[in-house]
Parts: sequence; C-alpha cells; structure tokens
Amino acid sequence: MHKKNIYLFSIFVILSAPVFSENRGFSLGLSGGAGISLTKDSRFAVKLQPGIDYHFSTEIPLFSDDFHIGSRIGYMHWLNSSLSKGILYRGYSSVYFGLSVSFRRRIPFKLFRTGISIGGRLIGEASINEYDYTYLDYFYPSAGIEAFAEFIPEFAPFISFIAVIPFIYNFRPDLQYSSSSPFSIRLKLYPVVLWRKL
Amino acid sequence: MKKKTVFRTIAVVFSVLLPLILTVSCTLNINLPKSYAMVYGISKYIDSYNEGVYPNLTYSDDDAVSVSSMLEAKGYTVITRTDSAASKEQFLADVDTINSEIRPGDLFLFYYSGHGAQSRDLEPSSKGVEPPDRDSDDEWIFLYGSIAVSGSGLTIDESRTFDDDELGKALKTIKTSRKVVIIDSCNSGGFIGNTLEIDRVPQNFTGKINILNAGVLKEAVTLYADYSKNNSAPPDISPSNALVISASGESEVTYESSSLGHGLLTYFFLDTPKDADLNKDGYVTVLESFAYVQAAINVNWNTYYLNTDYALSPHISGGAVDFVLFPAN
Repeated sequence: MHKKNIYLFSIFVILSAPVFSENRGFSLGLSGGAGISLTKDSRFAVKLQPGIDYHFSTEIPLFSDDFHIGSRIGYMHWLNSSLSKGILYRGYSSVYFGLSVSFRRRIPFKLFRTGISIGGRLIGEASINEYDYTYLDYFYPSAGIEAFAEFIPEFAPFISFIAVIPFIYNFRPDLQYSSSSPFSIRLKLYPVVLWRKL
Repeated sequence: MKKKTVFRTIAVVFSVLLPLILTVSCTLNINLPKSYAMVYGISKYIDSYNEGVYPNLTYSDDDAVSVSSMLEAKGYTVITRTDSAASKEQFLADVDTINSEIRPGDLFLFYYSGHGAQSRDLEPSSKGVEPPDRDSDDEWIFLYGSIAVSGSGLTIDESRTFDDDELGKALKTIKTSRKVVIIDSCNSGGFIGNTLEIDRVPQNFTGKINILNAGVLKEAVTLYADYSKNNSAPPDISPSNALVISASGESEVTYESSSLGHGLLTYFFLDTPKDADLNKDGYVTVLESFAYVQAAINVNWNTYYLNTDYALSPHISGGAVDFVLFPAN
C-alpha cells in the first residue's frame, strides 16, 4: 500500500509538473489510419494485405517538450491478401498494447506561426490476434519506428494534428517476414495547455 | 510553389496510391494451380453386415461419391475409394500415384468419411518433443480392414488405421506445399496440430465459445515462447504440413443423418461452391468453406442441441496461409 502511494504520487508529480513549467505537458491522442502489411510464408511469395488501424495513446514529456515517453492501446484489422496463384494470407484482427519513446524538434514553417514539429518514435508492441471467421488466437510482439510531423493550429494550441508514417516489424515465428505500415492521422489533446487557456 | 508540391504529393499518396494498392491486392485475375484429390469413404467395414448395422455406417460411401462428383466438376483430378477399396495399403499406393503426377505448386486434397476415435496416448514420450499436456491423446481414422468381428465383439487392427501423427507423416511425403485435409469423422479435431494458436471453440462444444481472458492470453504467450521447440517435431498435422477441416472437436462425436443422406460436415460442404464465397470474390477458400460449414451446423443442428452432448463444432487449422479450393458457382 505504501509503495502504491509512492507510485501514485510520482505519476501526479510527472503529470502536474508541466502546469508550472513552460512545456506542453502530457497529451492524449486518437489515431486512425490505413495502410499495408507485407506477409511472407517461407513456402510462398510475399503479398500485401490492406488494413486499418485505430489507437488511443498518451505521452508524457520528460525534461522538455522534445523528449516523450508514451503508451498506446489499439485495434488493427488486416484484410486477406490477393488470391493470385491460388494462395492467400488470411485476414486477421489485432488488439495491441505498446510503449514508445519519441524525440521531436520544432522547425519554423511559414504557414503556421506555431511551427511544425518533426520527429521519430521507437515503439514496442505486444498483440493478441485472431484470424477472420475463426476463434483462433495467437500472440506476437512487434517493434518499429515512426516518422511524424505535428501541426499545432494557432486558434487552438491545446490540440495538434499529426501525420504518422510507421514501419512495424512483427516477430512472427510462423512467417518468414511480416511487417505493417498503417499510415495514420492523429489528433492530440494537451490538457495542460487547455487548462492554462481556461 | 513548394508548398503546393508538398500538398499535391500528399494528395497523390492518399487519394491515388492507396486505393491503387487496395485494388491491386484485390485483383481477381488469378492462376489456379492443378488440383488433385484422394476421396475416401467407408460405410461397410464388415462386408457381411448391411450398411447401418454397427459397426457399419450408412452414408460415408455416399459422402465420398458426392464429394468426388463435386470436386471433378470443379476441375480436380480425383481418386475415389469407397468401402473395401479404401484401405491403408490403397491409400499409400494412391499417394505414390499422386506423387507421380503432382508438381510442387499444385493443390492436394484428402477427404475422408468414416469412423474416427480417440484413445489415450500411452507413450507420449515416444513422439519426441510432443508436449504431453497439450496432446496427450491420439485420434484415429479407421480405413477398411482395420475393424473386424471377433466372436461377439470387435477387434481393431491398429496397423491398418491412421493415427493423427502417422497421417501427418504420410501427408508430408506428398510433393506439394499446398495440402488440404477434410475429415468427416468422430474426434477429427485431434488431427489439427496448431503450435501457435489457441482455439477458443471448445473441443467438446456445447454452444459456448471460451472468452478471451487472461488465461487465453497467458497460453498464447507460452505457445509463442515455445514455438521453436513445439514446431521442431509438431504433433498431429501442423498448419505448415496441411490445412485441416474437421467435422468435430477432438472430444466430440459427429453424426450422419438419414434426413440429410450424408454426414453433417459433408452435407454442408457439398453446398460450398454455391454458398461459401463469403467475400464474393468469385472463389471459395479453405477458410471460407470452414466458416460456411461451421455456421450452417450451428444454425441447422446446434440450435436444437445446445448444452447437450449432441452439439458439435467443426475446427480448422491455424497458420497465416489459406488456399483457394475452387471457383464459386
């Protein structure tokens, strides 16, 4: 119980520290996107699987606005690949949890007085997956990188729009190769900035 | 001008390239490989008994004949064996015949209708690294000659049956990487040898699917961690060896019906060319066949037998790969 209180107090300090400092504080994000997954069984040719990705994320700045740690929980669905030559890769759904670290730099941009931040993010994920039309569930971890650009509108600096181009490698033991790249648009809310505004 | 170029590039990527990728990946102009099938059905295990008199079945030979006709109509080269022609020796001879013709990219399908059973695996250690807690039972199919009358009882000649591991080994000798097995017999779910996936449909189905809880997650992670070990000598028929559709779970019996004139799985499988193209792409895959048959059995059979021993569910192999069985009607 004592330990739990220490943890809770630490989280409170981390989350509330930005209120009294210059940085933008923690953020809550909602992402939606579509992309492709590349799949290859050792016996057959590589094929594309189109899919969608939705996830909810949160990030906390460490030391400054440039460096963040975060977590995410999301859902993906990948459709069947093409049927060419009589084989296909099965469509499947994933629910995943991930942790991330990101680094960003603000660069001046004439269109926005608030500028644009560009950056990169390292991601580690764990997912539970289920093939379409079945109740066959399986697990695999993934790791990846994301490049992103964040736009903060002048009229509402407590939100931002982020374009994300990820590359996620899936450590699937039953496949020779599996990766996914769900290009997404993320809407982020900065509660601390909103609180300051109010 | 530069800004316009940036926005144009983004617009092209999202409005042209992405739909193009989706379209290409859904292209329907496919080149199907040649397809071969061995179709076995045994009703008369004991020649001196009539069909339907135990241990003889009534419709397994009819199942085989109907499945053969359907596959031939879909362009398969089919070897059909019923009753006394459907022996283990004949199976091995037919495998040799198939191997003399089949090429690595062709599709092979083995269909079986007849008796199946489950028995405790007495020597799990004899099967190398087979994890005894995951597959402590053997399942069997009974080819002709494996069941005989002895006095007032029956005797089983195990050497003329196939157990799950032995059938898996026999299938491995077939010289193609595209193999499908459809087994319409009791306990046939035990022929499926998944080494990565948890099947939430219970092997003794009464109408409820297991929920995705912490226990399932833990087991899935364990299977992932043990994948290399389990897959070095996978039990049963692994997904990389052949995709299996079973009529029932490994702890279930299945039924043939006088009103249907077939075994349950077979009756609905015969409808798959016209009804199982679930995504309307013009082709029926192994997974679509399974999904159709499972749903049909749920609606037309399990509805009346929920929470009883009569309820049953087909099962399918895991694995990321699926094969086209035939064009839809």
